[in-house]
Amino acid sequence: MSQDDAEFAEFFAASWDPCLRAVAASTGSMTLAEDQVAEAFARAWASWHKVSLHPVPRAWVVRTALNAGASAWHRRSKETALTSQDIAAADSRGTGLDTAVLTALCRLPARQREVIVLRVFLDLDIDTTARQLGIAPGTVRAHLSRAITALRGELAPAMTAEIGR
Amino acid sequence: MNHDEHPDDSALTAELLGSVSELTVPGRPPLAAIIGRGRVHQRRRLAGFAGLGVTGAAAAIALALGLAGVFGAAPARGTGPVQTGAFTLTSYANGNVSLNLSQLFDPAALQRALAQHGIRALVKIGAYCSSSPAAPSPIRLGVLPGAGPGPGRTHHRATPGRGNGQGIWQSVTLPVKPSQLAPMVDPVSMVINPAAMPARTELFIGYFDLDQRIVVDLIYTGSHTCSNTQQPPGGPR
Repeated sequence: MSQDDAEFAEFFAASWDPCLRAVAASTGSMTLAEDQVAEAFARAWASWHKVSLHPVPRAWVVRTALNAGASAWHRRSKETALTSQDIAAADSRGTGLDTAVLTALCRLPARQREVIVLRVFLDLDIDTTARQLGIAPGTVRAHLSRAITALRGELAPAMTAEIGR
Repeated sequence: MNHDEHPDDSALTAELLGSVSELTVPGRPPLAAIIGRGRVHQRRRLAGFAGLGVTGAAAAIALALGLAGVFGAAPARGTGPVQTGAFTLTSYANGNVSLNLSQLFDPAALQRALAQHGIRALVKIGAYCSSSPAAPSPIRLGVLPGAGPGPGRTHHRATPGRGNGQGIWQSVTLPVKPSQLAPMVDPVSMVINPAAMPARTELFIGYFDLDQRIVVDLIYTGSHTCSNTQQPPGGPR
């Protein structure tokens, strides 16, 4: 095994779970996420000479997986109009992911979801998130703020209900 | 979530993070499967470059006359989906030609492409061709010097031939369905040195469906026999 392959193997072993969790939470489907993340890691291997120099290779994988998913989604949407709730309801069973959280995330616009994934799930700071998405830090803050507000609106009643039980 | 977050958001982000960390994730796929899939991307990229006839920086050090062989759909075995076969041939300044074979391929088109690269060849699917007496070993003559140079290089597995003791056998696992995770886990890659081929010989490349093997050997042009078979001599491995 070459040094590059050894480095990639180490990265793959350490990053598979967090990347898959982040993408699954964003797409609402573990099945889709698994395929998208596998595809992203395959692309990372094919371009490892570049990806290995990336400041946050995990972010590269997650972004690539989400982009791959977006392409697949466009193809699928021409055939069947599914709602985000459909996806969440269909595929959250057995994943251990809170369906309310999943549904709320799926209802966010794609860009807000990306910001949540990078900023919250991968714990990137605002500037790094902005660089990853090719947008200004202020725009990241705006997306984050809107996403949080929307999620609070979606999840607060459920959280309150749990506390009241 | 940390420094630049509103204090009121911390419970929410904690909730999000908690939900995600509780996610039950399936086990990692085998690394080989990921690498196999990655090779598909590398090959597509190389084929794209070759199709343009431009090799960028590589042109400075090697006369890279690329030929991407991407053929139309070939029927998959059984009643599965249609499968596309592909190969890539690349010439290098030292006269060597690298050949990457994957999945099912069009034997006539591969034979034509090899001829364009100065390689006399007979390509068959489901047929074994040999000369009697046997032609010299292509390995011993340096006709198959090893894995190819340049990016996208894949491993080259060659073991001493069986049966007539002259050829090489290369195993390749061909996918049944394009949707399988790792369609290119084990593609066949070889380097051919046409200058080392003796006069009046040609390269025999045969693919055998039953045990999914590719056999490469030298045969004498005009003095060989071919027999239809789904398994090369020597039986299954």
